Amino acid sequence: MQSLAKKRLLAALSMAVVMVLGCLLATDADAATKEVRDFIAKIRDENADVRYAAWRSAGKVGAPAVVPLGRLVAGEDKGVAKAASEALNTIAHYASRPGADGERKAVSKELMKLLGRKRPQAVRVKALELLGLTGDDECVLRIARLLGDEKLREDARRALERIPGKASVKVLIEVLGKVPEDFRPAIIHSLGQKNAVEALDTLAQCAESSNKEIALAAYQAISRIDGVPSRTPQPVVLWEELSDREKRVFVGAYLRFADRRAAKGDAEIAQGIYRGALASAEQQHLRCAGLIGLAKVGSASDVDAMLPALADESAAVRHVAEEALISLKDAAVDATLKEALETASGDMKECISKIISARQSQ
Amino acid sequence: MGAKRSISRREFFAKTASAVGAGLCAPYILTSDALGAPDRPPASDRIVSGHIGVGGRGGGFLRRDGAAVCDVDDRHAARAAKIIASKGGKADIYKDYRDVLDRKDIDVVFVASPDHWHGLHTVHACQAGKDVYCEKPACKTIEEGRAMANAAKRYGRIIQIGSQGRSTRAAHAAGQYIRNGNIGKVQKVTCWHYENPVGKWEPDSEPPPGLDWDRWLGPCPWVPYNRMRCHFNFRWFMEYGAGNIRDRGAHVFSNIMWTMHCDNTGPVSVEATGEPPHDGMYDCPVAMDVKYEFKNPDWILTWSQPGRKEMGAAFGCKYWGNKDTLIVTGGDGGCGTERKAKEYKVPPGGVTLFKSPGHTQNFFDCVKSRKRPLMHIEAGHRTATLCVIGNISYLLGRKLHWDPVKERFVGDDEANRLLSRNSRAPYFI
Repeated sequence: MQSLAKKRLLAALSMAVVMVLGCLLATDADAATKEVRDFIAKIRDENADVRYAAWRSAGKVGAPAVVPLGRLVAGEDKGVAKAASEALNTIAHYASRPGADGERKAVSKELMKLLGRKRPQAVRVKALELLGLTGDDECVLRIARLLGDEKLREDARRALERIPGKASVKVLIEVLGKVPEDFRPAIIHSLGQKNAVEALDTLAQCAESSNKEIALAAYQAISRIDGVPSRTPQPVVLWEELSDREKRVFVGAYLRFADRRAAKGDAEIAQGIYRGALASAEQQHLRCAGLIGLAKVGSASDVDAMLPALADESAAVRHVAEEALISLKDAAVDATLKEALETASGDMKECISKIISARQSQ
Repeated sequence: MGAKRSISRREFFAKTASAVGAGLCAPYILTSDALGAPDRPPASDRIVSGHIGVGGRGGGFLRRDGAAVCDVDDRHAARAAKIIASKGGKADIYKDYRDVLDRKDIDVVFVASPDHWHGLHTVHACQAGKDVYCEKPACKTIEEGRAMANAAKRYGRIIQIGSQGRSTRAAHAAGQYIRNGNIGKVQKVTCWHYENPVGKWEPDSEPPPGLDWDRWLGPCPWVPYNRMRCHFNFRWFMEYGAGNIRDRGAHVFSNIMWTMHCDNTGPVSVEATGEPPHDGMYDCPVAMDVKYEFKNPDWILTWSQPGRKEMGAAFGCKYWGNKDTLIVTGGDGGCGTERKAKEYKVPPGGVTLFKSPGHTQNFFDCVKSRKRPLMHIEAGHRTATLCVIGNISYLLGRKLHWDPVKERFVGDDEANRLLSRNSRAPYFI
């Protein structure tokens, strides 16, 4: 009997504890909900100063306010919509401060709720903009679903471009073959922006596209990435099919690629490209680019190709050639220059002599 | 380029480079302009310009040898062509800047488009072999400023950024006065500037006839046309002009960076606070305070809107040395300074600064001599960096630590996400 009474007492006590705890939690939840309600009321206030004060304090209100604010962003009242948008900015930035990872994830989770199809376009765009700043691997798949939405695909792409980490790279690679052709150059660009080494081989494949825009975008993207495709692109588009503008893009990508390889100490690939640029008969700025590149990675064997540039019709090329020959690091350059000096005459002789002196005084 | 064959990676790039070279050797027709037809001086004596963005500021660069004007607003382009005609020249009109860059007769381009276009126009112009005079601020983001500097280096191009304060007598005098130790070790430089406007609401509407709104936006996110956004008022939107700190700050900071010998470096921290308009379309902070810390040597730079006016000037800066102070008013083409600096003569062996013949003239001189101009792109990028990171600190609401060598924020992932452009397709650099 006593033990039964004890059990009943214990049960009653436990229930009482649970009820008290429940009340406390409910009170906390109520308080939180009340805080958000009060906050939203201020965001909706007709007084702009009240709205402003509220949006400035939004950081502390945090994730629970995201969805309610989202409902106001596309509203008819511009002042309220502005306040709601700014409040979302404040929440996102505050939660993204260093050391607040938990808050950032909570905000991202709420922002993803604003991506739903039934939300107004403006709300979804705003959410994507902020997910680009707060988002991480956990957000990627949800955002990626919008790459198939013609009205939102560009905003989704831009968000994925900003979100660091492997998941966003993976998803962009995966969708490349699935999105409409007109959208592929933009996806390719994003992979380049992300320095997506994992994408190099896929991009090499894109460089073989018969669609010029895709092929050129791929070359540009490759030139932005710290690596070389393991698979050699076999371009289909003929040089003659490119317009002058497209040739500029292509050559620009190659030179950027060469600069990257040179910076990584991969002189051989870079040298080949710079030598090609130097051989450009009609475009003085490409000859300049070739000389400037060779100044970094060239050797004594390049001197003979570089010397004629000292007499180039373009002042820019002559100037760059002189500086480049002074800068060449290979010690054998001095001997090559001295040999050239012996057979040179006139202005060329004077120029080579000046270069030799400058190299000696370095 | 068309035949498929199996070659090694390295062979491919070498062979393709040769093909590129061969392709580049395809003969272009040399025009009589280049050879020097009897009624025109040879090309080497004449610099032919293209003008991209010929509205407000851009109209000030129009010249007799302007061969092309380009603007997304037909009215601006038509007016600019008439101005060139009135100077005895003849300019073709374009809407797409790439058509200007395609022109082989054009040697240089003047870029006076809105700030958010500067990066694209300048990098693409370098790729096309043009030298560039680009209006300030050099760039909208750190990434594109670096891309501009890289393009100039890659192609050996001359780029002058339009912070013409450096070419004024007052800035020159002040710089020499300070560099020769007359105020002692500079401990801080304080800038003041009047506040940004508050603005109002206007309904969205259709763009006016002749304005290509999509192209005006370019790399920026799509929004409906609103006359509050362009033309001049783009300055008051963070997405486009980002306020006076980037507009006039690019001028004021340029002279400071020159004087303080910081053209190749930057601060190690930035902290900004500000109050934006409580209502209306504009979102740039009306009042603002920014503090930058520099190291080695140690000094502080501040930017205040409104700050405290000196010598009755609307904007300017004050240098605080451990011996004395010096005020420099303005910062753009209308700089002033104190008499003691104006009358100062540099002693033998003292530090002398380059005396500019005029900002545009300096640009043309450097196009011919191939020497680096006074406000070269590296300096322009570093100056614009101050403006950009100041705004990022304001937006994020916190102090940020900056690595001026790596050009990245230290320990702040969100801030680093804002370094890059995140451009709208197809407007990529």
